[in-house]
Amino acid sequence: MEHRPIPSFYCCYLLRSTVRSKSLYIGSTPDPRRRLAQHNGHEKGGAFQTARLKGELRPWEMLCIVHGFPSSIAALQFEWAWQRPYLTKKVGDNKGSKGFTLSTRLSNLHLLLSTNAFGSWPLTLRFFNEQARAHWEHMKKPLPKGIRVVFDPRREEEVRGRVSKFAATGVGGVQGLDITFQPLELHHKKAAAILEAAGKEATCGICHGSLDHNEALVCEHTFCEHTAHLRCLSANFLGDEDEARLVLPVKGKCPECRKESYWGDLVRELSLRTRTKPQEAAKKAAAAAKRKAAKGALAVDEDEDESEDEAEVEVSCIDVADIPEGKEAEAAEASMMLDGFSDGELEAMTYAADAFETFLG
Amino acid sequence: MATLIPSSPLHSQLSILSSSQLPSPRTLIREISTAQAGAKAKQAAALKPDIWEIPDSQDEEERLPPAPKAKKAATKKRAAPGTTTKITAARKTKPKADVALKAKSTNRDVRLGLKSKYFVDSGDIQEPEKAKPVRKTATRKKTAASATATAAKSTKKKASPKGKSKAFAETETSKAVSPTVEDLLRSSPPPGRRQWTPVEDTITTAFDLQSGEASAELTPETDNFSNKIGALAYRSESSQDRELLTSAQPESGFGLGFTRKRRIEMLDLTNHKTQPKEFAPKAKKPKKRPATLTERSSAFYRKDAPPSSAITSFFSSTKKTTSDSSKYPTLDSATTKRKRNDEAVRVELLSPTSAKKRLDSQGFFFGTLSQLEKDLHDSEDEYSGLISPVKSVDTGPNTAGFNSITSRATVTGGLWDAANRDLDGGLLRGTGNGDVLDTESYQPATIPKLVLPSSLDLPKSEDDFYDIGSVLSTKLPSPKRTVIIDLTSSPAVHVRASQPLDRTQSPPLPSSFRRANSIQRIAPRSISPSLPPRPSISADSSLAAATARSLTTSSATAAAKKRQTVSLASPPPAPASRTTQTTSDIPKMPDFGGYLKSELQSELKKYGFKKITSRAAMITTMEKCWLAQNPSAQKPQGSSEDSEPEPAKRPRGRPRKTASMESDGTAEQTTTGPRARSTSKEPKKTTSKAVEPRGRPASKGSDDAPHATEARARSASKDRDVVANPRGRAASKALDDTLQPVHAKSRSRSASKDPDVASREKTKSRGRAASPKVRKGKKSRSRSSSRGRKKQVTRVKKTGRDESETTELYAKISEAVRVNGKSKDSFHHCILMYDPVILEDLTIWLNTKGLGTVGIDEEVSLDDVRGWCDANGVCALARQTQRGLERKRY
Repeated sequence: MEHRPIPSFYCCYLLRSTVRSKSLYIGSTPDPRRRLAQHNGHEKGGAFQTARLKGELRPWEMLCIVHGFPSSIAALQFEWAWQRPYLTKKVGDNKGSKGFTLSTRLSNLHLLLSTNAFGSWPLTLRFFNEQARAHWEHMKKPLPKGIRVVFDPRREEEVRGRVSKFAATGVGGVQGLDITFQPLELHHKKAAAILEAAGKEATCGICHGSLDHNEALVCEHTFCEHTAHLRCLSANFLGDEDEARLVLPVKGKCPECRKESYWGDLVRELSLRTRTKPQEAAKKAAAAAKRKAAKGALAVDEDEDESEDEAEVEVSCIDVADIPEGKEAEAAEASMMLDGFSDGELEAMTYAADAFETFLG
Repeated sequence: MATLIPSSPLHSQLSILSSSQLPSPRTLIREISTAQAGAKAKQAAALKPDIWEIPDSQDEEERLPPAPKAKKAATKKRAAPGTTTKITAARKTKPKADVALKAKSTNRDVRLGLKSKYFVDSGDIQEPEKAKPVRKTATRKKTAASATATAAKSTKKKASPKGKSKAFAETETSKAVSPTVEDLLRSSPPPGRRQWTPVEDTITTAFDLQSGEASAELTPETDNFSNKIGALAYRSESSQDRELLTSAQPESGFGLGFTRKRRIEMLDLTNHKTQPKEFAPKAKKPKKRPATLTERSSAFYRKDAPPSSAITSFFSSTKKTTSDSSKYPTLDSATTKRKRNDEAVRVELLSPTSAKKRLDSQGFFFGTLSQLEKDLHDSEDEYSGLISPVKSVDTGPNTAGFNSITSRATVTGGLWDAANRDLDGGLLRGTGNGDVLDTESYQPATIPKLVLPSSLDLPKSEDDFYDIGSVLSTKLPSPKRTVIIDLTSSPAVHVRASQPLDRTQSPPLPSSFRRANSIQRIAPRSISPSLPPRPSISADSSLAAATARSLTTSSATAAAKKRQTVSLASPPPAPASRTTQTTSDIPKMPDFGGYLKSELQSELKKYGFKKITSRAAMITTMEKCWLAQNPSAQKPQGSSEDSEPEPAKRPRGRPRKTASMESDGTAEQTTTGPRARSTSKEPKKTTSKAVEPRGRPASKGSDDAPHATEARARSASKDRDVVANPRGRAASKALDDTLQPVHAKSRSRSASKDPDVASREKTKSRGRAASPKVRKGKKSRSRSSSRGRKKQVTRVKKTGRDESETTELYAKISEAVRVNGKSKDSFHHCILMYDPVILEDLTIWLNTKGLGTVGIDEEVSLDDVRGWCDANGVCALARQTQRGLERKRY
């Protein structure tokens, strides 16, 4: 059976009507901005529940999301359980309440995230609304260690030039949410570089056996090039006590750098490296670069040639943070332009890339 | 209302007078006096000063009559200047000739207000000349003292006329007027002035507005014209008017034309409103003539039915309708019409059997007028053929409906059998004596109406119905065919009683009737659906509905239980299944295949099943129901309990583990899933369990042998416990299902296309079926049909496992997964990669290989695996979606 790669972003969201605060809606989507636009009627394909009453409940706002699902099926299962906590079997004996209020929904969410079924997943709970977060903070029960809770309100509005329809803009909130592989870019590059460098001689840092690239996990932390088998590292993460009964780790410490890493992040990178086709990877990277460039672009050339060279793609994939000092302005100018870069800019970008490689090397 | 001008001061009046164009009476008088020498001074003195004349001292002495009393009274009575005084008639009157004015009597009358100086009689006319010289002579002869006295008097007299107008001067009896004056008087009077001021009324009457009555005494003298005019004023008794009057009074009494002292005569106005009308009592609305057939037929039975009818006396009712009708007289035409209508609508209440007999005796003709005429005029054979029952199927389109009706009506065996039908849909009818309707014996008049009970010595039944049959037997000639129905012994009522056609319409029949004739099938297949309802039966429906329902159920159950032989003249092939059996025999299941769809649906409805569209499903359901009710009955060989209601559906779930499967060592995919109940062929494995080794044979040698045997013993013992569970058929089923655990969402075990699964299957060395087995003490759960089919008894219950056992099991599973996760395609790898895992595949693998590696011979169920997946955060899903489709996306 051919397995699919772990999606870059898939979330379950909680909507609330700005017209009637008691109206809530739970859904799942890989693109929350687009989905919100659909719910609000800006795009086709909205849900019936959010479009009922002739759209009187619009516009809707997104209170919080749970993202990091390893698959769409997992997200759908979570969505179903969140909508019907009193029916799902994953909660065990603790039946969820049947209410429809915000506090009830959040309490059910807390219940689901506390279970072993969902608590083992690399999920992140992100709040966009202060009220929702206040409700959440009333839940005194701690969540499993694998669940991260983030409060991400809208902090800054930023629109530079023409951006794609549902591109991330500004900082914070739903609009500023990055749903691409961009956060994995660095790790991915690092892992690719390390394994490429190791080649066939790559060995597991734990068992010291031969390491297959398709099963090699590379530490995500900088300056750590630890690689290991998938199973070896999972066993290492689980520890001796849990190994007897558990199978799936949540997080653990790198045997080498002893820094904590989430299993989901490591696996996500592995999925991106092994299960994503090269063309798909290039397209995804190009798309990520375009979005990044469009984020800071002032003007768009209509005669833009959509086909991009790999070099430009590679160059544009470099994070701005990696650009050395002194070249930031040039790099910014380069990122603002969609079309080909000037020579000076290219040199800057290549310099940054070289610097990065040397850093890794 | 006449508006009365109040009396104005004298000077204002004189000013008005001065503007007149006509010669003043003074001039006229002067002329006359000069013309006549012998005018008496008395007349002139009797005459009061004319209002048209400017008061002159000489004239006043000459004219003013010596009427001190009257003057004094007048002066006394004179009102203060400026006060409103009633206008006397004298002021109102128009000026006329001085001759007339000088009449004494007139002068007096005028002074008193009785008469106006302008309206003097001819007799009263006096010569004004006589008055004058008398005065003159009288004044001259007097001495100075008397002159002074007279002067004083004259002054007084002078002063007196200030309050009074000269018009009110007493006029003594006027003497004979000169002919010229008479002539003038007789001549046409001068035209009346338009502008005139009303005469001051000397009569003072106080008008009390509040009391509403004139307090002043109205003497006849005062009842002059002015009063009459004043009396014309409208006065109402309402408070508003009173208020208006009272409010108007202080300011001016002129607003409504009233003065304070005006007496108002009370008008005797007849108020039409207050008078009670004597009108005839409201006649009742004429009843709406019934327009529809229903109204007409039921008009007689309405509450307001006329009391004069035999039927109402039959039914004792407390209502007295006669009194109501007599209250309001109605027109004769209406009553006659109503009576006529009632008579026309009146329908005698017959018992259902009687009604049926009557109906049988009636002939129905269907067709257009021309067709009917044609038929009637045809030969008798054709006529009889139309009327007679159809013995052949095709007798023409016109007769189809008729035949059906007659055939229906002539069915012997009671009303329940009236709508008996055969397989082809044809009605069954009794063959009795042959023709349904014997025209010779048809005598509708002979069928009597229901008579009073006193006339018949018949036992009263519970419902107080008197059957016409009993009446016929006593008095009337019985018809040729006597249909006697015996419900208790009538098998005809059997399943055919479940016909919905006449069930609610036919009341229970008394037991005195016995069925004498057999039932013969008549097969007119084309039954006119547009048959009109029978009013007589419909009239009974309301009365017999409840009893009919009870009869239905009772008949149905009686039919199922008690069967009696029915001698059939020519038993049709189809109804053969309906032949009854003796009660002593084991009840045989009826052939539900011969039932019509509507019958099956009605039967199913009784059992509470939902509507099933498929005929086969209905038949199987009915068979199951019947078998459930009659467990002692043999199972029909043709039917299988476990026949799928929807055989078209592909099998689901894991194939059953049968002997053949075990021998072959391959999973049978053709058998149905967990709901397949072909256990009739499968031998009960209760006892076999203890014999057959369960679980995988020990592969590791002796170490595993005791463990395996222990496991087997445990499973066997627990299976026995399961068997001992008294659930009857359910228990037996549970046993079967224990071998094949069924999950609620288990899917069919179609050939797995997954290469991993296939490889795992290939690694099977033990030749066991891939179907997992339920662990000890468990009952598999099966999906119950929503259509009310027999529920699959199997149920999954986690009652036999403790938490510790569960945790141990989970741990073992985890170990097994980890141990066997070296390859990239292993479950461990998928789990670590967060890939969705197919439950069936995992279960199979665990049962086949996985648990074996950790030394566990037990098999796990899908529930266990699912639980393990939930406990470990493994994303598990079934192979098939909830809609039963193959899952394409993982």
